[in-house]
Amino acid sequence: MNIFVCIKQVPDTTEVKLDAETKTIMREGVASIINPFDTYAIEESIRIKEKLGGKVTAISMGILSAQKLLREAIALGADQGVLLSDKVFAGADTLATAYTLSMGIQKIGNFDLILCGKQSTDGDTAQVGPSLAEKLGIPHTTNVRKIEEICDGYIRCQRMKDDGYEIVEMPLPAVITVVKEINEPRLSTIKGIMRAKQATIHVWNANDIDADKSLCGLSGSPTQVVKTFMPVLHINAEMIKGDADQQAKKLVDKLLSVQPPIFR
Amino acid sequence: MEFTLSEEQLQYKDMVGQFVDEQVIPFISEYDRKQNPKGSVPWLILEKAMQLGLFGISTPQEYGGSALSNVEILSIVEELARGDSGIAYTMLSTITGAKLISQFGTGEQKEKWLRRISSEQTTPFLIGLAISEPQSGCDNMSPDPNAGLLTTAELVNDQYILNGSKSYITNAGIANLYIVWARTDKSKGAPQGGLSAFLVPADTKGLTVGKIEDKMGNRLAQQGELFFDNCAIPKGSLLSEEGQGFPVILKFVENRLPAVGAIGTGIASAAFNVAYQYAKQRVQGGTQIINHQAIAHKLSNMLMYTEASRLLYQKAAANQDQGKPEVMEAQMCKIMGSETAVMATNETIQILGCYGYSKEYPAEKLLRDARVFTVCENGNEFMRNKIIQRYQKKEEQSQ
Repeated sequence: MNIFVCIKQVPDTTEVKLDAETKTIMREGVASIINPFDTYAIEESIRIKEKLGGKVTAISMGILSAQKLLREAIALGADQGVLLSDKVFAGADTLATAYTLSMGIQKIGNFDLILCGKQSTDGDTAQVGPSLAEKLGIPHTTNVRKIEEICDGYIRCQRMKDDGYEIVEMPLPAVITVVKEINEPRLSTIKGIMRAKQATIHVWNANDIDADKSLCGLSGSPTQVVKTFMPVLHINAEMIKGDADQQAKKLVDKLLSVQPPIFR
Repeated sequence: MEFTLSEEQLQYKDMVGQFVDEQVIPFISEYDRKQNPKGSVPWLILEKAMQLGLFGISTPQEYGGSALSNVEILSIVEELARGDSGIAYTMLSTITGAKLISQFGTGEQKEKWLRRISSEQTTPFLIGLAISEPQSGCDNMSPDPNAGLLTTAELVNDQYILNGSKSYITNAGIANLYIVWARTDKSKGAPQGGLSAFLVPADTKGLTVGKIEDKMGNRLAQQGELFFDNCAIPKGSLLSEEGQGFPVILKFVENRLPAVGAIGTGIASAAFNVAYQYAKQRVQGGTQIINHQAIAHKLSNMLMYTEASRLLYQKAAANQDQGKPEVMEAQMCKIMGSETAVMATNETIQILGCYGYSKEYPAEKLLRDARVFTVCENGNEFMRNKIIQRYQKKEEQSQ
């Protein structure tokens, strides 16, 4: 089983700060981590490899420092790491990111299963996984909480919904995005860290993956961020005084007077 | 002079830190409170540590280990001790034992034992380092043939026959293998060739485990007695050569004392974390108590001594890595780490007030754990004697 797992470098969510003036994320001095949802995808890919054999390739698009996170994926059990890094990839939206990842994956080729986290903690769009499947022309399932069966050319998984789950069967190759309920990620081992240190991370630019530069980065992105702002919190607390009966009556009157009414 | 850990070294530390936060700290209080000390051995945690490869960190790579540097090993030991000193101490005996076998063992001994230590099996492989005896401790390395160890090993045909007893041996009763020091020549002191070291499997006939100590702290490490009653082991069990037990014990000391410094640093670090978090949220007199000068000074002292203790063991470890081990430095690490741990844990109780004295908070356990390290591995008073003796000797030689 030839497995790919897509990982994204995101700011550590516990340390995110916004610049009060520019309203952008302050990245300087903020630690970068593997997108937490991707850690479940890494774990699942390793479990599948341990069960069926094969190879796990961790792939990411980003700046050179993302090599560190690919090494972390190798320390956890991935076999190799590929970083797609080029100035022309900068400013990519989800579509351009999916295109770039698809070209990187196709360069290696012979893929059976591609796993992604359900979404990233910085962008929160949940679009790259499905877009990647479209770019590769293969089926996908999002929000996978359990793989019930996987074998050559076939996967059956449970897709989490708000009110339960549905069972989805797909031919392989396919893309799945996973939710945190799917597993409990392992810790890397001492030997894993040593293996990761010695591993070569393949760093490829747009030419290396034969990418059409007009479809990459900012120029390949139909969506563009116009403005980032911090939502203003409006808290208007009003103390309702009186005894219990008086307070209840005042509260009901208050709720009925809201337009549109909260209840009638 | 470089004072920062490399990216890879930080990765080891972070990995162990995550293990400690998620899989050690939430469970240790349950083990600590077991009435029967035999029930305090945290097997599930040790199994997980084994799977992560933490037992094989001193074992050469050719025997399946990861052969980390001393700086790396002690950083890991500190992190483990931040979780629980008993767990760190239990594992340290195996880590140190593996180092002794690596340096002094024959090819056959290394193949037999080191592979087992670094295997990826879940069952932990534990080593007990059997030196201390009921009547001997600080004088184990004495040049006086009438002082120190009484356990004997006599060569009869192709076997050594061991007789005697050992006390306060870490991992007694749970170790798979003991490294046992015994007298092979009663007419000589330790440095003159009176001692030899032996590899004795736990299931050897004639070796029995006595009382398991019911201790005030460090309860997750098991200590107890060993008895050797005409315990026969093959001649090939000798570690190094006959009469060469002293260099093995010296190597043990060089490794063990900075490691105790690292354990003390880990306990102090855990104590600081408890006190700091508490001082930030506890309000007295309309402000968080961290804003009160008396508390702030205590916290600053704890932070300062913890860092000093860390730097001292890191320096000793770095010198070992460069092939320049210094016993005096190792002794300083042990005193500094253990006394910093006692100071920091004691101050944590003071900062937490009655909550610190309550078993609801971890402060009292940390103090109980810290207390042993000023007395074990030779008392700090003895260490201080040795430090100034060594200094004086060097100073007078240089004149």
